[in-house]
Amino acid sequence: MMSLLLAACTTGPGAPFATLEGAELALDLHPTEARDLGDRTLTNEGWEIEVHGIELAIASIHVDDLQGAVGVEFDPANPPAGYSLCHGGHCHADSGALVAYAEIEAELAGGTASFVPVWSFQGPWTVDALDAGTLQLPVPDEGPDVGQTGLRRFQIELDHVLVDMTWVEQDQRVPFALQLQPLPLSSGLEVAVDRFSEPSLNLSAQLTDGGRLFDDIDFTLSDADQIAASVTNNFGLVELDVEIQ
Amino acid sequence: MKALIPLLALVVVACPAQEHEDIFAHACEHVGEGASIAASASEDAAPLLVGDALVTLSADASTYVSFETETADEAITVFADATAVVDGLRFGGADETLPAGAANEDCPESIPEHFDLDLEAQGTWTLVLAPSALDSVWLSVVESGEHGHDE
Repeated sequence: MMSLLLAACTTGPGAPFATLEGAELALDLHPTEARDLGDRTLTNEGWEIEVHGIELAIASIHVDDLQGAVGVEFDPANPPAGYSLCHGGHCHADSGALVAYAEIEAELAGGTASFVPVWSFQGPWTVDALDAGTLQLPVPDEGPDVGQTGLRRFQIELDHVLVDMTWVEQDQRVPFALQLQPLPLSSGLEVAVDRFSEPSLNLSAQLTDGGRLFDDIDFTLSDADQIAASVTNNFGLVELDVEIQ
Repeated sequence: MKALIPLLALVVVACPAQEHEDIFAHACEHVGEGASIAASASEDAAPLLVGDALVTLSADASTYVSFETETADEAITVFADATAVVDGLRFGGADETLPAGAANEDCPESIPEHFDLDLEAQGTWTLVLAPSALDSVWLSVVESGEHGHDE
């Protein structure tokens, strides 16, 4: 009986605390209900557009720990200047953006901290995010086991995004083929891997439309480059939810 | 005395939870409740939203509702049962920064978006509601005080 208990409580030197069993990314950039007119999308300026395709060229996906933030004391109840209203893993920046705790800690650490990949999934993958589906991420042959670490950020590196759309105004139809190069899509995580963790972990991420991809664009005044710039900016507003359990 | 020990433990555990009501959990329990009001087509005529309300929207143009702060430097949380409806914040006829929204983590499907507002001025604030494919949206405006329900 005693030996059984010992076996259950012991993790040998170098032995992993957890193994990544599976990882997937679900994508669905159909317009959210408030903007869904069936075959058209409504924008916040009242324009109607048809979105024929949103092709994501994903270069890589990684889950990172934050390392080197030694001595940084970040208290969500008492956030640093420039941030307020911290809860749920993020704070509000004065700019209005939501910023993950780990990003703020990295900022407070100055140049000493950096995000280091714990798990990396190398693409490329090309997916049509309007054709809702799930991308099964290949669990690495080497490195799915991890020792004591933190999982602080999930990030999707995009090579480019192609948007095929038509602006519809009464009898007028104006097609646009936009090529975007948005910034990486990130979601903060607050997961500790240690001897109290579940031995098997599964990663499940969802990328969904926040409804604002085509907002703040005056189609009567904008050319394709200006529309591409606006949609690129709005790409930071798509919703990325990540669970690791 | 032995019988009292579990009872004392219960009291000690229960007290912290009663210190303040969790507005996030409370909102989850009351989604869809409240009077029906029609958002106005003009900012000047924006109806006053107090607490919870079902707000009628327009498909053709932005509409407006208002709420009031009783003091300067007030923390307000606005809950919505749909994303991409609340589209702007105004005070005194000028645009103010609307922070990014996020789901209520206690019930992300019922309340997919909430906004934490740190409002420095006392008076009447206006929420701009985007043209919508929805007929109505449930909104709740709550004084939130200190955040930090789940640190």
